[in-house]
Amino acid sequence: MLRYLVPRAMHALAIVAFAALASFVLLQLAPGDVVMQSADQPGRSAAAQAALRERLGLNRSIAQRAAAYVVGVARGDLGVSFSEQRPVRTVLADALPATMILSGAGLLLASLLGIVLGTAQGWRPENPLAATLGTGLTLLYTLPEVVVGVTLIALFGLVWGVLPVGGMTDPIIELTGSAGAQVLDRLRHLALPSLALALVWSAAIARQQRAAIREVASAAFVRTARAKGASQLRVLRRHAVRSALPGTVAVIGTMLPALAGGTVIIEALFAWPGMGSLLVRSVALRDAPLVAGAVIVIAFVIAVGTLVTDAVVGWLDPRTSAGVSE
Amino acid sequence: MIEPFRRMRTTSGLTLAACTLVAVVAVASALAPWLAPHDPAAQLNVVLLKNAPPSWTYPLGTDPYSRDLLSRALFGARTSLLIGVVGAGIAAAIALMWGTAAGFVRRPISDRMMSVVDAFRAVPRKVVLLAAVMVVPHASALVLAVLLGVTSWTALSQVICTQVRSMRTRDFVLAAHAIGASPLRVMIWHVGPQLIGSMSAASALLLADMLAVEAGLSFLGLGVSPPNASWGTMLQDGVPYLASAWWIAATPCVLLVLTVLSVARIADAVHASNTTQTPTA
Repeated sequence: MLRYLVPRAMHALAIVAFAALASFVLLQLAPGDVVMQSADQPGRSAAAQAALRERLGLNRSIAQRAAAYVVGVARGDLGVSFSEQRPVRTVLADALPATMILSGAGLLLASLLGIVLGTAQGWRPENPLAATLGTGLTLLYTLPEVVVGVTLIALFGLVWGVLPVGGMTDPIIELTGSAGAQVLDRLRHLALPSLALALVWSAAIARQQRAAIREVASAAFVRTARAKGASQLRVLRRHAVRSALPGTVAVIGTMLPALAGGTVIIEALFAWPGMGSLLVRSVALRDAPLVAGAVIVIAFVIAVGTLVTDAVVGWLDPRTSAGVSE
Repeated sequence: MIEPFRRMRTTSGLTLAACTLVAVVAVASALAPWLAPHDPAAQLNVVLLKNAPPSWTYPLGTDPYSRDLLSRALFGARTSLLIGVVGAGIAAAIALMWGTAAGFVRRPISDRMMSVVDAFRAVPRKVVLLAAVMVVPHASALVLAVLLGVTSWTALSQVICTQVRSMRTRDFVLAAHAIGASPLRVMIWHVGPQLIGSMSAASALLLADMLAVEAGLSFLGLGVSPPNASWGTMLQDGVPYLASAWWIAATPCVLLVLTVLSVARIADAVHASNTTQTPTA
């Protein structure tokens, strides 16, 4: 297991380092010069400009600056945000939990939806309900997220008026409600954005699960289980789903990039105060250090997530971690 | 080259409807200057015509700036399709070149080339795209299309690479090598034609994807810059008024759903006609 994980950990580290370098390039390319722009001393003399460059380390060679930036990133120093005048690290740390909650809920819902529908479709291909729902998911997958989100808002928020369509909490309930009411309020705010994400994400999971179940359905060990007199449900649960699941978990793992950065549009649409909204705002304000920091943090979250998925897949299917191929 | 399309003559009604719809949208966007009843950017009457509901003079209503929605939808189709087609073309071209080259060269170099793609894919495309938009502020539609294309080729290049790798040891490639064809010749004249089927399906799928991404980016206010119309900017204008003037957002929503699903349907049909042709690919 360790021999399986260590190279993968190295790979993850390399990707984060690559993201840090790319972010440095981004900072260099971003329009604007800090020294010329700083508003505190508009008519700064040439000597003062040189002194400021010296102090900010801007007179060093680009390679030295790149190295300094990457070392800073490794220490957890992401610079200072232009627009918020706070360390990028704290700005991001404030936004990350909201995104994790939203995308975690979305992925959980997508996995449930995808696995249940995929299993139903693979086990009973002739069932019209499962087939229709499966096709529906595939159609949703191709649509723009905005359109799916706007439709949900129109239906649940405006036509039926049953769920809140923006923000993370209701300010009145947050201040005066009981603990139970607060939890319920948060769940109600989470419902629509996470449903929108789940509807867009679940198609890939359903497709993998359907293919795996269909393949397993005609396998010898399933026939044996049936021959021993196991009930349909038992065959499905104990034998078919179990051997179909590792592949699906791997597919869910490939969706982890979406977890950290794929919620941009849904967050903006539902006014969710997470990384996505922050990223959109900082791009609009040309806050380069904040954007660069967000890229690094997203790459880091993804690298860690991929590593965890690899470990889980290796644990579910020992053939993978032992390096045995079919 | 003709084969996959000739096969499509025996298509289903749904695919035919999809083709018709895409053709109608394409023609309407080409003829937008003659079809549009008003200037798409003209603010007709900011007070009286703000969010006006559909009527005989303004068939789809007007938006918050009192601009005619039908005219904006027509000119918006132009922008959205232009960005979609150019973006998909660029992405497909880069994917084809990088994927074929990576699949064709020897193993260690090939693996390096694909790990570059892996590294790119590690960060979500939308994040990369947003970062690119920051570096190139207020981009024109064409620049936006280039940005979209440059950030969207990685997934397809992986598919192409696997396909080319699997072809390297096939008989027809070995035979071409054996009669002394140069590697470049083998790549272009023997391996290349095998990729046409999957490339045409993938390009159509990329087009659907580009339309979706443009809509998202412009909805965020980071894509097509105002007052130019695209389906994404129309969404941006309409979403805040969803409760009071639903028809503003409904127009681009319906257009996007129909067009994207039609293009995806065509991609499916091309893919299906191609896989029956070469079952082992």
